Amino acid sequence: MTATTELVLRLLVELAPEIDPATIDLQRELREQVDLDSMDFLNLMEAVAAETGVEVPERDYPLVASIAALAAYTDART
Amino acid sequence: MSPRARRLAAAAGIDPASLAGSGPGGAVIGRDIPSGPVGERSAAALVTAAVPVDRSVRMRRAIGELMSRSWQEIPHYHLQTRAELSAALERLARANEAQPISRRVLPAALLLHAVARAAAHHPLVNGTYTGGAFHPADRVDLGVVVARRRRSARPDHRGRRPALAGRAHGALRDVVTRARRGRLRSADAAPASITVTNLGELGVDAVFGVIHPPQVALVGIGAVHEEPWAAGGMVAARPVVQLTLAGDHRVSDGLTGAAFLAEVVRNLQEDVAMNVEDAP
Repeated sequence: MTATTELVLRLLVELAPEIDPATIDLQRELREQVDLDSMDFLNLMEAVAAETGVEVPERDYPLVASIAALAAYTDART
Repeated sequence: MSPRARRLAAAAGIDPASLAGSGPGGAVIGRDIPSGPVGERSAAALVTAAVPVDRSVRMRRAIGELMSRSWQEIPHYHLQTRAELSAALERLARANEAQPISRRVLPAALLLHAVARAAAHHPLVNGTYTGGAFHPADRVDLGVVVARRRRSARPDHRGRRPALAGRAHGALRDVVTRARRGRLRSADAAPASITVTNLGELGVDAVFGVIHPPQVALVGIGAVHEEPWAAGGMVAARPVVQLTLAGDHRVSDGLTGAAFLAEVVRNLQEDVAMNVEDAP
């Protein structure tokens, strides 16, 4: 697990404390696995931006659907 | 136990085994069954007896009591309509494009804003029914049901001139965040003048709601789906949302409700005044 992956997982659990990070499949679409709505997702994007400086535009949301994809997207831009 | 006691207990939703009998040999008889609706205290006691006290059980019981009251007291009528959102969503996407994440507005806020603006013009869906009479509210306090933790909360969305969508979004986001962390302020749970329940995120097409007494109307928002939309003799795939209204027949009728829903749709389709750049 990369440092960015760990960071993203930590931010996710801060937003939704009921999530057990051990149960998350990093490669699978996040919103298929956990109960996140569009507000939660926006908050996650904002938390990632605050930590890494990478702002994901709305048109790129399909590219960051899994934790691994979000981490890779962020790493490629920092 | 007497048959009458059994009947009364069933009607009141009480387990007669939980009561002390005053009849012959300690039998539970009619007068042992508390009359009227189950009070808060006895309800809490029954829950304690049945299962370990748990927040979700208590909350489910409180919701059950409120909704039972609503269903018994309020003669509901339900209306449903559809709104085509392509123009509204395109405008929103364009506006969000130029914004940092913290100022992006979700489609949900756009929908709430359209409802609040329409409610300001339709006093018969915006107010409370208490003491046998309707009291129109002098401003729109939009209640929003926050799905995940199943709490009702109210974003700070007030005034005869309802807030702009950006501000609605900020208020919505704050209150949803606090509700989900279990840190609602007392002002968040303050009485609303009309409630919106948005179950679109859960994938349902339409919500036929139960009004939250003492309010007199509830707007249901379903999922935004791309579906065939016929206009001008052509069929095209368009983003469409189902909007419903549960109205109180003691206060309004289908005519009023239909005019209100039509204005919500119009607000979504012609939101010229909707200034999403004005986020907080």
